[in-house]
Amino acid sequence: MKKAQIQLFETIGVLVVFFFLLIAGAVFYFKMQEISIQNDLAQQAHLRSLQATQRAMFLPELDCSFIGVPRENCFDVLKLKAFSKVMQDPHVLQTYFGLFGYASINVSEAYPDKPFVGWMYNNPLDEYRSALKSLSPVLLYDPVANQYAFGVMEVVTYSTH
Amino acid sequence: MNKKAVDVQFNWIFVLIAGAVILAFFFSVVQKQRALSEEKLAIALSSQMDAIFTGAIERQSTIQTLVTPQPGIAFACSDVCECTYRIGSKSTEFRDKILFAPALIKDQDALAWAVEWERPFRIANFLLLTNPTIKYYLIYDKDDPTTQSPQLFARLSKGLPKELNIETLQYPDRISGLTPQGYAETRFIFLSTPQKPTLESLNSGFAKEDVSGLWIDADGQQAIFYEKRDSGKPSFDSYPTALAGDATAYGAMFAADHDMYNCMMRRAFRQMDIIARISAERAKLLQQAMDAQNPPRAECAYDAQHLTGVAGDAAKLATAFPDDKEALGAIAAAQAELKRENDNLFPQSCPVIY
Repeated sequence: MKKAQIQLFETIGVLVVFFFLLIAGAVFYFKMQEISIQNDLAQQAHLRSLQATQRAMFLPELDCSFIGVPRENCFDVLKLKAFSKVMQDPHVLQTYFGLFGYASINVSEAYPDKPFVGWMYNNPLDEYRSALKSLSPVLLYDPVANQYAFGVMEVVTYSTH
Repeated sequence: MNKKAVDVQFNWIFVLIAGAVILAFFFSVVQKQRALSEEKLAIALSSQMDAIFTGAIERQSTIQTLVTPQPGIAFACSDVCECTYRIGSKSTEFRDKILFAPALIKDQDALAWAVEWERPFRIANFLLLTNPTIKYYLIYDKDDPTTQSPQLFARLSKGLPKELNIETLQYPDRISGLTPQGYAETRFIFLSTPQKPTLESLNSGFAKEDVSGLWIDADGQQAIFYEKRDSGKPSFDSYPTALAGDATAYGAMFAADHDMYNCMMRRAFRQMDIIARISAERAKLLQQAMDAQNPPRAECAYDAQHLTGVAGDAAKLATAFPDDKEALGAIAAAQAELKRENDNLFPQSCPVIY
């Protein structure tokens, strides 16, 4: 073999090693990026779920205020029923889509009688990859009987990621 | 030149070209990575800001300090009410939030103040944003013979948090003696001063400053925004609008311009429409429940008509604020009636409307 040929093989060898390292580095880097993006998306989904719960808790539409003073973490049962009815209007649903996105929110009575279960907002995704569920204790006020009951608000947020 | 010398020179040229290509490749990767990181940071900050604003809106009546990201936060509403805040290159819509904020919050932490809007039932919390780089002058006329100006000042200033960068002028003509103090923005708020604002009399030093004005009438029904023309002189265009209570007056004080104010008010009236419809449905349910009692409670009478009327007028204002004066007047009248009905129900031990 001539000296020039040996040199050519050496150069090719160096290039092969160089590109191998480059490709291996790029693959590793992109894998790490993918994991990082997935973590970010999961974090975003949790944040969205938390925000949806927080927003639902403070809706003035449903609060049980007494002479204008709202009680925290409390829903008026009649307002919940009225809200479900008004929500059937697609324009209203569209307004709340900006607030809750793809989510389902329902409120049920836990104590003492468990008679009340009502949808606050029901707009699930037909096909989703993950669904985050959070439960929050709430007070339910019945203005007719002037009585309070304990309830649970269930918020499920859907995500395609 | 012999063949060996040509080979050596060719090798060097090859090495230089190959080196330059490899260097350019890594340089472009680094640049792309940098742009990507900045984009990622802007997205993360916008998302966090959204959560912070959501939290801040719920904590009414207390002033909160929010850390401002390094690039600052720019707020704007277009004339078709597309309202966004921008951090770096990332724009985020206000969505459901009713925010009144200056065009740019930068350099110092933002001050956030949530104010409740009731007409007469609770409708929404407004989030008012500012920071210490923005100066507000509250101007009234101490010698106003009708005393409306000092009264309005007393009413509105009582509700303003002490942390805001506000200075009071007791006479409107004193603005001509003011000189620019290096603030990012200066807003002059005239509280029912008998004569219309005289911003043209401002010191010529304000010509290059970001200056704006607002005039509020004594009844808290009307306001006029004064926005500087893009000329070297301190000359202003005026934009009349409507107010609906003290919360909206505060909103006007903190809004970047008349577009933002009007857009946020439209959003607020959209919210009022929905809440009035819910309250109307609730009133019907209450009436059914009272009629079903044994014996029926005739003293507890609920008329959903007023609420339905409020909903209809609020729906009009959700698109036509501040131009539909008739709807504004009708809402004010219906609200008075609602308050009277609610006050009558309370002594009868009946469930109240709101």
